[in-house]
Amino acid sequence: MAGLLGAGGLGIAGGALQYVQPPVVGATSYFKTQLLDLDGSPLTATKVMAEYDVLTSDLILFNYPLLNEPNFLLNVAPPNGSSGGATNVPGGVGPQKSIVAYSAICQHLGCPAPALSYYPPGTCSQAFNGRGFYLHCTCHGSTYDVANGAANLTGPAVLPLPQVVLEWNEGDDTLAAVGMTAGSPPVNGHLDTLQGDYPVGASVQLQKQAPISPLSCFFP
Amino acid sequence: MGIERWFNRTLNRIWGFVEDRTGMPKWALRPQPEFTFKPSYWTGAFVVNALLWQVVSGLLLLLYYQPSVGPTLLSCGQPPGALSASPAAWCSTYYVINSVPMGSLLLSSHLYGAYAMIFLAFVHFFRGYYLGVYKAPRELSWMVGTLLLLMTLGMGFTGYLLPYTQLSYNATSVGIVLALRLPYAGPLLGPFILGDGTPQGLLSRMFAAHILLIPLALLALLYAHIALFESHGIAPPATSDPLQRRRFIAREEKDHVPFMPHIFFYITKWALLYIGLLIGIAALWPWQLPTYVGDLTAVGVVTEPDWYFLWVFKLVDFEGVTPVLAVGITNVVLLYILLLPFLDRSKRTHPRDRPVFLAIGNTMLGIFVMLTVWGGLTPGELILLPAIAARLVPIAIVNAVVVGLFYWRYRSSYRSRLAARAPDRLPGAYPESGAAARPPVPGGVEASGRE
Repeated sequence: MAGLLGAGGLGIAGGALQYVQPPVVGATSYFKTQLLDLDGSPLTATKVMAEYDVLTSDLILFNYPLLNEPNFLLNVAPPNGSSGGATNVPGGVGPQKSIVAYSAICQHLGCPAPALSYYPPGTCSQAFNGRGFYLHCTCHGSTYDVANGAANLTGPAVLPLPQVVLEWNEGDDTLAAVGMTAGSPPVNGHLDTLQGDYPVGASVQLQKQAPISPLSCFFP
Repeated sequence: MGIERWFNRTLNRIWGFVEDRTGMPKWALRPQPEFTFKPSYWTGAFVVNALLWQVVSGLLLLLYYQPSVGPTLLSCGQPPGALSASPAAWCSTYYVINSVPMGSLLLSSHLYGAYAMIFLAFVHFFRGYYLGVYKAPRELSWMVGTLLLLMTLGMGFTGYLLPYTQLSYNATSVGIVLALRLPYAGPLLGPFILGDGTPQGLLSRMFAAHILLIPLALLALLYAHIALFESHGIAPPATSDPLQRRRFIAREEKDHVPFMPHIFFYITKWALLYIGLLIGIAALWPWQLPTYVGDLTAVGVVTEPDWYFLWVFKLVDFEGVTPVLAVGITNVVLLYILLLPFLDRSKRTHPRDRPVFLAIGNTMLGIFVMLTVWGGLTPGELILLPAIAARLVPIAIVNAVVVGLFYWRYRSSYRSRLAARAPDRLPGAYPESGAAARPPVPGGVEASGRE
């Protein structure tokens, strides 16, 4: 009798736990998502090279692979005819291999953009590894190298930002997100980059956001 | 005259009927000695007063609040009939502030009431700490109280997300990442905190926790806290002499004031003063709603929690303090508080007789205030080791030295006074007679603190 009641109790508890932990939503594998410009037309590398460069301080964001996983779209090449910036960067696409995309959620404690903001060259006097432009999080001061796979420049974060694998179709000049770089940590706040919200779908539109203001130059 | 007599008699008869059929006089709480009628003895009652206001204002807010991240037709700045650009959670908060009559007052008083409740809970806690009320037989009462403090902070954490501002969303993410980063426990707890992982899943869970789960736990614990208080009565004043505690308890038995109506009116007086102050402050300085989650025009959104979590937030800023370490430190402090009655076993309750725990308490309070102010002034700035050492270590050292010197002085003077009296007049005061003969240790915190 007691065993029967115990089994029944365990069954009820197990059932209740299932409610506490609902089915996780997400995607089973990475998929190709076409990037659309601010106006909804397909985004082309030519447009990115013309409109954005290493000096652009506005944050250009898109969600991938899930709806609550924002990423920066950055072009670290210098403006036409000038020096500075960087080209041929790891994971870079476009004519100068300078267009990259990184998760816009800090790997330290999960502060999203615009708390995590892009610092164009000359914003702050400090340079790290000779790099004068970086992503810096105003929450706790982590800094990431945009021209080197978002590797850590300063702590307290210890992991690099997850990098989105971009695909440049040289035929029609369009850009698409196709996955995350192998070895990227999960987007912060998620146990797995592919779990924790609904997938963005076949195309996703860019969003423009002002950077955090004022940009604080407090570095250790 | 006749009417007055008739009125009073009728009222008495009705009230007599109610009292008789309900047995209400037996509901009254324990009578209390007359000298306890000063605020410092009723810090717990003030927390309950604050809780009652939170329940009333919270239930009214619940009539308007929409716990959703989707758009809504509620009016929050958009043209009539159009869906809001902001999430419904934020939009309904905006609606309460701007469209509900006196809604701003209601919401502000709920927020400030939460601050006040947490502050009063801290006051209640530190008073108990310093006056040694956790000593036998009130150990369980202290442990239940620690859990109550935790529940109160939990209410603060879960309530912070509900207006769904970018600020509260960022700060809640920080709290959740702190939990997810824990080794073993993080991946295990993660699905329970995050649900299906969507922002809506998180908001639903925080909402459920804030309006039902934590309040239920809080009320159950509060019942236990008050029931234990009823069993043991109010803690005697702090004293160096265990005998005095026994005398106090004997005095409490005969010299008491009944709960109804004296204590009830006494607490009601304070409750009305509290509510008046709270509403006054909420009316003079209404809360300004920050911008919503996902507002692309937002600039200058800093990430910081409310003041009662600023100290953890500042802790994570420290060089070398990983999220796991910060949670570890917090848990050690919590365990210390929870198990305090079993660490401090001496019979004397006065702080001057508990130098080690006095020094630890001062250090905890000092570091808490320091980190809170520091976090408020420079949220999110990395603090290097020398700066940490320069600010935190002096708090501990100065406390240890001051308490040590004080204790050394006190012991020598108290010993001479003891010697002047006949030792047999004070049986049980200092049971170990060898202690008086032992030479005092300069700065003798470590050597003689556990008596």
